[in-house]
Amino acid sequence: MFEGFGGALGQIFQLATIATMLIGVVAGLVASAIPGFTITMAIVLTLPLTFYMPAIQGVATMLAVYVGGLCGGMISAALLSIPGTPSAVATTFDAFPMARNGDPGRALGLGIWASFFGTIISVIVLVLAAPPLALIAIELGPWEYFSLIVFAMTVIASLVGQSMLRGMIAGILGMFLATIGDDPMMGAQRFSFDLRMLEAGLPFLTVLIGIFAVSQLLSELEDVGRVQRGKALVDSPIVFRPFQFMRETLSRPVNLIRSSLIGVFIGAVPGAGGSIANLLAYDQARQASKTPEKFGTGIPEGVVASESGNSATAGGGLIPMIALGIPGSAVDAVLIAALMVHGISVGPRLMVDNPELVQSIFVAMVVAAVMMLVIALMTMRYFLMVTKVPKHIIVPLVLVFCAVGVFALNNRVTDVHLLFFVGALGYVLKKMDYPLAPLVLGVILGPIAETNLRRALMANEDWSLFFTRPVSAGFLVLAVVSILLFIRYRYRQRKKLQAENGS
Amino acid sequence: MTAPSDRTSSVSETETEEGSGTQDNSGGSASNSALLHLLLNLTMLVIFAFLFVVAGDLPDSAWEPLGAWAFPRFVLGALILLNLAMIGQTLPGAVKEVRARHGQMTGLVTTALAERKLVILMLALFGVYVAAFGLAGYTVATFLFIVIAQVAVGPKTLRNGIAALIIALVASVGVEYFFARALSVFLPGGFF
Repeated sequence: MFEGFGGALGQIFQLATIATMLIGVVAGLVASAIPGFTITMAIVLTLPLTFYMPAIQGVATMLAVYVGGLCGGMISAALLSIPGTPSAVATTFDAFPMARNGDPGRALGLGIWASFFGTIISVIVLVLAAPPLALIAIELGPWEYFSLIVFAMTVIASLVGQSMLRGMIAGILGMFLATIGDDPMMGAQRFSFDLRMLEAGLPFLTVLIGIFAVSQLLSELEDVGRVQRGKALVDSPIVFRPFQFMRETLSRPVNLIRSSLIGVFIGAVPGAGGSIANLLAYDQARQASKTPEKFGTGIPEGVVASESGNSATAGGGLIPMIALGIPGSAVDAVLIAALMVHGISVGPRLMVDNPELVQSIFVAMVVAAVMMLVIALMTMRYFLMVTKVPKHIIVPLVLVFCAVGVFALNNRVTDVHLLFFVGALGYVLKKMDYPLAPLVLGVILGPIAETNLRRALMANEDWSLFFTRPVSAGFLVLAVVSILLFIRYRYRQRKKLQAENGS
Repeated sequence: MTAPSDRTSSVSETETEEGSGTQDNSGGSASNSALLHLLLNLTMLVIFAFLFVVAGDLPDSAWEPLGAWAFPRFVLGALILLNLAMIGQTLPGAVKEVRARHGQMTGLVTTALAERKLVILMLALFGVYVAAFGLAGYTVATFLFIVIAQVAVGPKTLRNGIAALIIALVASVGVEYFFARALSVFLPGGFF
């Protein structure tokens, strides 16, 4: 397995490859730090440039953009509570409060190290377990997908905040919003009411940016006095001690490894990806914690779990791609397209026909992770300056970036109009104490759930298959366990509260 | 586990402790008002019930047991039930609130709106901006939006005015140029 790594090292450690990878990491880091600019967009924009490069250099450059992007999404999530990419939603839960409590340097430092270790762990799993894991992932039929989504939906339970009912309304509202536009199986128009704005449906990123970014930016303006005096987002001096944060990250090995493995597995399931991985990793970390009530207040465990979880999907997504030619995510699909442009067919024979390419991908992932670490640690002080920008400057400026990001996605002005309405809805819900994360999760999972439910019943009308197929039943059992654990946690919390009130 | 909205409150508490403002005080009152919750849930109930009826007109499928209507109806049905549960939960509190605040409702609304004047102002400006985005073009709309928004919500000083002009120029002309040249993405040109 390891005999060809010398050649792969030689391929990657060429001046031209290293130079384009460096540019790729920086581009990924910066692009995904801007709300609305996803890693997929950055990769797609890189694709034409790689046509002029040799295959290995092209793929290595795109992987560098990918790894940089997975870390970059965390920057705006931590500093502004705006997930730079969908895979950074859970990062806002603890990194943002940590930043607002006067520790933005620590939030970013922990995020960078967790991203780095998450990527490295995913590469180790990728090298060792690509073929067997890919075989498990490919065995999943629509029954298993639907059950996986049911399991993922139970994460909502841990995101509901004070009111279970409001959290459920938010999550299911997200699922409803995803039904607007074309029906996924028949193409019939649903709930568009002949409005051009709604005909194409609600693009997921428009909802994500509107719900998180616009509502958060508007909330920043509530303190009239501070805004009009030109106060910054964070007043306290910023501390950034990279090696202390490394020790802090490594002092949570179980959380780090568990979250990374969740990321690898979810990444290996085609269509799931980083947005689900970071929420699941966060949820599992909370459930395993001795102090789950502290999650959401700005604790390092939350940052480590979400960032290692989403970064580990990079390696996970490559597992079915390398072993079977099936993309684990949109980014992997673009990587496959790049390889095809170079005349390399991706499929089960890739490891046999092009072992050097596959090994170069492994090496490129590790090199990109190291580059991301070094560049992120060196430049993070400059990113942190964002928190020193006065609110009256940053709010309109980021609103403009949100509009540009939403427009650039599909070149549709109507998406910008949608952004306004979704943003206003997000602000109202936020002010009425409706948690926003379940809503976004509903928008992600709703269409996958509907498509797989309908596919499963189209293949066989027997509902019992969801319970009798072993993997599907396994996911459903996990869902029940997850809910029971949450109910136990709520019960204990209530008992504790009663005891405190009593004393 | 604290919900995102709860975290906003905790931030505002920190800031208030610093003696720097009264952020989210009204946000707290909005989220604590049973009457507002009741009104929101009633509105949602009416909308979801209407959409549930509309979903009934969506087509069936000849190849599958579930047509285009099925999933939306499951989801909307669940939303109707959950909203009814919320209404049942908030109704007694809302009735108490109406009795307790009898005659003061107008004052309460006025205060809440005054406390959010910058939010309303920014939302209005953003609404005009997104409407102008396609009509006047990205460059003109963005330049005007940033200058007006920054001066309207920020300190009324010459320094802020000059900063607004420079930032607006970079964010409008600079971003448009970058997108067109580097990424081949053409932002709307509008009339110009």
